[in-house]
Amino acid sequence: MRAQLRQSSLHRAAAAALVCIAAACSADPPSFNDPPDAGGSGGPGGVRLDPPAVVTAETTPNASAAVRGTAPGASLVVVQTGGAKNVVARVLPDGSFCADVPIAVGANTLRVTVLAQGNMSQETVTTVVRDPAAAAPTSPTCGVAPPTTGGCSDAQAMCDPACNGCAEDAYQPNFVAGQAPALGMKRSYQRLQLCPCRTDWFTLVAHAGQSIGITATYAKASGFDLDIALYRGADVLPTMASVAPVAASAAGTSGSNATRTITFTATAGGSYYLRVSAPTGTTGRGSYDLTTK
Amino acid sequence: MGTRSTKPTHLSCLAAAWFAAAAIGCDGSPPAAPAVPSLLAVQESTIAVGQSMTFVGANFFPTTNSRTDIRFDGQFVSADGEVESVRGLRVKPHRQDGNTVVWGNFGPFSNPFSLAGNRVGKFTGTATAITGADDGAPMPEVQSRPLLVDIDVAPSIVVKELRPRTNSTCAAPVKRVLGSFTYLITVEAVGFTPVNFTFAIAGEPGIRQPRIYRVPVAAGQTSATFGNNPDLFFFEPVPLDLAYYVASLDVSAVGTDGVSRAARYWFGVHNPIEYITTGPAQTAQIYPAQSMSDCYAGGVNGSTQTWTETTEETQTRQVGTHWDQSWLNAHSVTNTRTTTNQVTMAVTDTTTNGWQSGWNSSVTNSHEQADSNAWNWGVHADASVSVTVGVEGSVGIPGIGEVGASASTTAGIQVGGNYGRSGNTESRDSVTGSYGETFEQNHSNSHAVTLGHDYSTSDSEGWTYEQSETVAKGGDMFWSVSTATSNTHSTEVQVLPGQQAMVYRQRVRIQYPAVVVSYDLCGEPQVVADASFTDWKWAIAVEQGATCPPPPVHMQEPVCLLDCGGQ
Repeated sequence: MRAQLRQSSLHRAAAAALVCIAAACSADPPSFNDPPDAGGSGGPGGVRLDPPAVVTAETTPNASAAVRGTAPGASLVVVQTGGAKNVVARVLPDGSFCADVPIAVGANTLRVTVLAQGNMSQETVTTVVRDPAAAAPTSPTCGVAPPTTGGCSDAQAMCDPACNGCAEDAYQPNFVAGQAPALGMKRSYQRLQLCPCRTDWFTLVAHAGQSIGITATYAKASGFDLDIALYRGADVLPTMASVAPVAASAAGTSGSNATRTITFTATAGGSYYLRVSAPTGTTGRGSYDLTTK
Repeated sequence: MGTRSTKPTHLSCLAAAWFAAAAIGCDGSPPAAPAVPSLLAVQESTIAVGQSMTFVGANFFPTTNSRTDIRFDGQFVSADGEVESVRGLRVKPHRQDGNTVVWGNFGPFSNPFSLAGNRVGKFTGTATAITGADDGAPMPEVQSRPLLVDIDVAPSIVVKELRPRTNSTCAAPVKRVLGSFTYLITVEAVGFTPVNFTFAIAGEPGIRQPRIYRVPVAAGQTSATFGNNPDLFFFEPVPLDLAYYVASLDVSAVGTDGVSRAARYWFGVHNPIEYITTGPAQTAQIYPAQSMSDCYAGGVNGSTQTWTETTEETQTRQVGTHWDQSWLNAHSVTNTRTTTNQVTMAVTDTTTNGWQSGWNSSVTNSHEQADSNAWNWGVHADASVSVTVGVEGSVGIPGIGEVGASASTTAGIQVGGNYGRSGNTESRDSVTGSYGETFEQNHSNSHAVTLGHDYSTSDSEGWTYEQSETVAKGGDMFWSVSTATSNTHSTEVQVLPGQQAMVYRQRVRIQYPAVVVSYDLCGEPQVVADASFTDWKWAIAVEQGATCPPPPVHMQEPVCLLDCGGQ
């Protein structure tokens, strides 16, 4: 079989040469997804890879088949389906691999090639039949089934925006300091939204001696109040340190036009981080505006 | 048996010879065809603009002077059903390892399968790996068998515009940026409705956290522009000890569906003119060995002598530069000019050890004058950096002045003269500076730099410089090098019985090849001079023989290999 393949290659090469001369060196268009030449690639490193040992379910009702196998020394495995959907997977250090491969109804010929260090093996050919009436194989996929969630009935539901219905603002995601967007000075940021169990973070740069004023305006309600505080960058990144803020909000007006204000003169230049949070005992859900000066 | 041959088969040679003159390469004569690549899979079947695409196979980049491109042929059907033909779309991925090549940014800025660039949909066709010469070497191209592929172009962020803020007309988004110059970027959400766009700049020297700017999108809008007043978009200037640096720009957007889409682009951040060492050291000249001592006699029983250098030799390091005369004429100190896309530059090529160049791009925005405190550039710096960023005062971008001030003390390529932004609000968006390769303290040695290559359809140039390295050569007396500082100048000499010994010293001239590159406002490079840096080394050896003086048989024969005329 291999000898036949090589002879076929020689004939093709000769034919290609003829085409080259006769047609101003137009290339002989090879067939799509032709298998590589028999024997695999030794490559510059001279490493030879044995064809992978492959195990698949013979039949499955599913739209994909788990192709498992072993290929010691390989780093990648490619499963070609004969169509446009080819799958690449990692070969684990113990030489095992598994790839979920999409298959069509009927017989599917899968060609499995492994690769390492610039080389590729000969392919191993296997066939999987997709039969909607077949019994499901024992391990139909490579992946672990995702854990079932508690929907919106577990203890975290009140903090989950998908459950509590809190619509975030246009400056999301800024729930941690590392995501904080920059604030400009003498600017107003309106219709910001604080959602339950979350804090909002912003950042600004100040030079030594610069005076900073930040005011949060919101409608205070029985379940909603705000605190704002300013931290040095080094105190919140990369992790939040147990330090007091360099400035915390003073209570301003209350009611439907409640304010919290920070006034601060930077003693050192650098980045500062503004934290907007709900005081303990409140739901932390409500909208607010920020004004800087 | 079993290995793929890179040589033509015997039969194909016969066939070619039979058909006369086209037969070349059958007897191994150049040019030889590279190994045929094998393309087995495209890892991503669904991809968004700006994300990386990985191609898996073998025989990619088979030799150091070859490269492997990927060509797409087929058709693209957009989500609204419009069909576009894709023919010969060729991209230049980079080699990740022996079995994978990566198109760092699919697009890189828009959907490459669609003429409009801002459509999502599906490409159906083939991908073919093509291996050929890297940069014009005489090597025929060979290609893999076409691989059938279906690629869904997912909802994406398209970069419609990325250019200097003013005074430029760039045909496409820039792929290189100039440090401290201000830019505009306009992005569009394609296939989803954005709530906001985020621009995060990372990798700037001395700044640990990315600078994050978030731009809300008004209802009904799908695009946004960042970089207009008051939020300026810029990259920090190139530090003194680097010829350039590589930074990243993450562009992301949260959609009304709550899903965040993102792409990361890498940019080389340059000065308008820079000196790049392009290769390893080359031996330029070996001088005759010189005797450095009297003859030491071994006597009957042998002897031990102490040699101490008494004649110090000092040489001067040099930078030689051969300018592109047309460029130099246009940028000489007496003939500066400003045109669209060009930075005004002035070059003085009269200094003893090199040259000086200054640049200027003055961009004044009157809108900024009214609000002296509105400019917030959001540098996320830790306290140690704050000293630099916090000296705002009258300086538009604080810190540049620090760079200038530290020029005399920071090891690195010397940036001569002034470099900084003018420090008042009226012209805080102007950039002025001078940049001289005076090498007073060290010089940068960047290997594997492939300046001027066109990676326009593949990566930003971060990959180009991936292998770069910087080798510092410090010292207050950089320009002067002597045997007293570079060699031992005292040693014990063991003289054998009946032998004569003598200490020899041999001088070697070393050259580091380099180029001087200039960048216009659109980041397009131009090599404007070939250059070389000359260094000196000395070998010390003790020779022994029966006669006085013993010949220096262990020293190299004198030879001049490079630039011998002036030495």
